[in-house]
Amino acid sequence: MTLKLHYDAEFDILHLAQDGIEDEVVEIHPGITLELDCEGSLIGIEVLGASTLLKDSLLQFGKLANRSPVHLTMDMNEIDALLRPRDGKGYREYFDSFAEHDSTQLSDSEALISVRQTFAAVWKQTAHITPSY
Amino acid sequence: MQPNTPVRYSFHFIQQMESRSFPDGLAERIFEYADARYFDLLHNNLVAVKREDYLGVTRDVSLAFVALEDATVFLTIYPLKEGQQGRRLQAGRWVRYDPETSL
Repeated sequence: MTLKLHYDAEFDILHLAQDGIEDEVVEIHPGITLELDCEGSLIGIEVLGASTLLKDSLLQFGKLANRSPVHLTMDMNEIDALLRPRDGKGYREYFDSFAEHDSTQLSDSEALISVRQTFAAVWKQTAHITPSY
Repeated sequence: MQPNTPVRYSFHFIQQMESRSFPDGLAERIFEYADARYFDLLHNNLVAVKREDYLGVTRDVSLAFVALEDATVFLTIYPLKEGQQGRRLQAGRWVRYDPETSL
């Protein structure tokens, strides 16, 4: 299934998603939510305050996917493999083990580092695409 | 929040509505008839929460939005987990917001 990436520069929101019905969101770090379908499978990652959380790599996405979604050759299985907890847990268990990140704590969590690494890999895959600016 | 300002949809919100197939009018209903409204101290935006029938289950659905001088802009929409609203209040991330007094 097609994976789409877009960046809303006006409100600093990055979204990587495939089409699907969202049953649940799991906030793994303040501002970063994983979108899951009814089977608990990953169908999207939404990053609010993306320029703060993703730092330099976001500048590239901003040029690439601002105002116009970019279709990627990667699929969500690849993203899932990059992001899924290494201990074999599912996202729901991962979320529960983190407790609820509803505080305003913004220090670099294990989850944030993992998301940064995931987007770095996405960026490598998109490097050949011509920016839309 | 300015009363009667027009509603605008952010680029992200439009993309999200396309890829997620949220029911038509859900966001507008949450905004208009919210059970509760909050200010999110983490992201400096407003949040409206309403209990809705979504995917055959009654649950809280939240709409994040910003109130600009000339428009209200919908940012994102997502279903909440059971108890999540209370935990965000308890953690101090969300504070109650009264649109009448802006407090």
